[in-house]
Amino acid sequence: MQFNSFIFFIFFIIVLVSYYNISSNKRNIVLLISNYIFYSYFDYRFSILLLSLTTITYFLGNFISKNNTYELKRKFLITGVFINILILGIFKYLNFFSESFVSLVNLFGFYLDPVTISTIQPLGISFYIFQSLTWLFDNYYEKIDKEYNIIEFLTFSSFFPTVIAGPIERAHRLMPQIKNDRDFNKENIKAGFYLIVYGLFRKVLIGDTIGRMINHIFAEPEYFTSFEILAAILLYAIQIYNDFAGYSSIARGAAKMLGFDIMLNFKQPYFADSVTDFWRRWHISFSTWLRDYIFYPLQLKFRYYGRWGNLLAIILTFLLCGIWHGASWNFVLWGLLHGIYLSIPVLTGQGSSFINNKINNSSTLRILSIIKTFILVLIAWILFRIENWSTLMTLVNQLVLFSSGEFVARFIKIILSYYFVSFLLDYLEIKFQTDNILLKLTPAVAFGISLIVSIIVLSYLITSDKAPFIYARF
Amino acid sequence: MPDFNNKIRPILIFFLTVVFSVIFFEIYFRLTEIILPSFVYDDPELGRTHKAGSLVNLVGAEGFYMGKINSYGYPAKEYKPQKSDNIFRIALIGDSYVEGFQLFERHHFARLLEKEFNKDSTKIIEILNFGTGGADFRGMYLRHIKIAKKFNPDLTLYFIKKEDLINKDAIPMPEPVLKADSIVFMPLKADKFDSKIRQSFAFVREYSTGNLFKEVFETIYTGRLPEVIFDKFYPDKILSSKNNLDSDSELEDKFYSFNEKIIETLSKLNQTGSKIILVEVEELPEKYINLIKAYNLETIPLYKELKKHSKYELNYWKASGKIGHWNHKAHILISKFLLKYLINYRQD
Repeated sequence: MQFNSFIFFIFFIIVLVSYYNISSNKRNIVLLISNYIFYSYFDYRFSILLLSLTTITYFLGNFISKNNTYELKRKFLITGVFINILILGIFKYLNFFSESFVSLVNLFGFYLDPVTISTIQPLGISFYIFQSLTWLFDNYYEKIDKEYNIIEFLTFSSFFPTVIAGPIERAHRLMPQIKNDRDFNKENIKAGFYLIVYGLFRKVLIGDTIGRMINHIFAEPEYFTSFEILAAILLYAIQIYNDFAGYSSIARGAAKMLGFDIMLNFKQPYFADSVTDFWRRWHISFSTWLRDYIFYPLQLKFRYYGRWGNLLAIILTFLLCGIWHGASWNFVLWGLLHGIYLSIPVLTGQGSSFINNKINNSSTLRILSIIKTFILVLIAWILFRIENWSTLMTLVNQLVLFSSGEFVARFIKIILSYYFVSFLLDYLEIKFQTDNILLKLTPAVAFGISLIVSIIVLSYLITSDKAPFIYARF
Repeated sequence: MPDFNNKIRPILIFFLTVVFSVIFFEIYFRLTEIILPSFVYDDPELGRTHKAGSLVNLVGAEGFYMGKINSYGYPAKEYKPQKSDNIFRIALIGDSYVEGFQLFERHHFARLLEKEFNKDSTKIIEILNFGTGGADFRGMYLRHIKIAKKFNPDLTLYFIKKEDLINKDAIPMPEPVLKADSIVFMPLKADKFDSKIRQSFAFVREYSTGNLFKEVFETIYTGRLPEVIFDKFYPDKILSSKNNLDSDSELEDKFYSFNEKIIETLSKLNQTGSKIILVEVEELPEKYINLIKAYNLETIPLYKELKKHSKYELNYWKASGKIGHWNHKAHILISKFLLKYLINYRQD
């Protein structure tokens, strides 16, 4: 079930009531059952895969922690990672690699039929596999200092607020919270409710409303002018941010109401003054995952190659980042482009750009850097959004026509309004130094705002088709 | 004073916040065009009709339409009622297919046709779109007589589907009655509205937020709320069992005599100088074909051209993945098809 559906709201209320009305030692059982009900709502067969894979991962993680020999630990880690990646590969990447390989072979005049399997990609498979892998890594790096039973691990790996689209939690962070008692706490309920309301506003009233307009432009760009396509690209940057940040807020809010603290996933990414800074603020749970479990080990491996070793580590990490998002060449290129963006400062040295040398005023420099970063990210979003090469070609062909159309003023008004609201929320997050801005307002104001936002969001959900979360398909 | 600070002040602040939040959403919806004030209203003489000067932004269900109702109350390109001799004017009458609120007006067959028509023409060709969503045959006739006629069209095209011959009652409209062998429309009265509430709360549609709440009310009123809330758990059968309308053929018989009168009146109008053609969007029942022939009304069998293509080709909307109204390809096809038929009239 989706967070922006009535069935989820009903489900969540039932879970909350039963969760807090049962003795604390049975809460994990209630939570585990809720996790699987939530996940099975999409397709019960996905749950069988989730249960089997995470059970195997649990035992492998236990073997790692209980073995004292480095070699054995390493073997269990490799086995665990291999099994998880194999499953991910079969369900998500087999068709892509098979078809790409056959296309390449066919280029040389041979004819081969691709080996493909007809299967639906299990929802959130990239998220729960990456979350489960942290159990293996954290045991391997001895970040886990307690023993955990299988119920606790299965609750962690299928945790419903995060199972579909993250944030990708770490075993050493979330498992202790699962082990500890969580009693009913009014403050947690309030904070969680405000985060859910805030997330729904971002997701439903910014992300979804943009999406339903620009989806038509991206689907058939040949019917739209250059300006309208540019407007769609500009709006997409706001859509994907608010869709995903909204989801993360709802996830954090739901977890908070259950007594858990889930890591922050976004920190005003469009205020980043470099692409490196952008990745410190965008999808933080994933970027730090890549940093800790991929980039650092690679950097260590390539340490003897100096600057070029760093460069290789960055490119490889971002190629993985790209392909993690989807089995498609556009995601590979998107990741590669970000890898290139991040490699440039490594090659040229930090702070030596033309702009940095010419402008002394730090505020102006920062604003220009923010704009430059935003443009770079925006260009990369085009690759992220397109569904195939012909769409990209049509987009480019239409863009170079420099046609404006009859609705320039209306599109400008729409773009500015969405940007204003999205940036205003980010500004408030900076000002209050939290993403739970409602919590910082006086109770009467916070309650008034959340009441109206809830009514408007529910009304909108009643009258429109529910849009899926963009990141849920990864 | 302590009482004010402790009890009344928070309540006041709460109410002020609620008011400001509603104002914020009203402005936000209008600026982002998520929901605009309604572009239709219920006119006592015309029934559900477009509101002059209102902005329209319709996205989601099928395609994406952005446009405006012009100051004369019909969508898009504005032409004054008066016209000079070197203008050849065509009026389009139909339902939501002709209204075309699924794509930008520049892709509507009316504009494509107009563009092609005006190439190497000595006369200026103007095409006015009087299509209205939900209109049936009597609704089309009403718009023709009460609005389109004022614009002095040289040619009027009625786009008719089989279902238009059954009075759909999809939108509020004046009740037609036969009086002294002619059709008279009785103005809408409060008690004739599908709901008195609709009239009492007509003002809410003037606001974006009001329009949203109106949609919610309609969802509840028409019994669709449980379906929205319970999603997979909602049994489909409940909705279909509510539909206790007569079968199509029974309705056809019921309204045949009335439609016959409209066709007869159109035939008379046809002889007064303004040409009327019925465009068959779908193949009409044989008795109607005979009737149209008997009254010497010309028809254009558009359905024959449409039948050459699949529904997927002409009615599929890529972004929403839905089969619905005519898509871009269909509009191009229709404009080319109509051009072949109508080019002779321009030369006349």
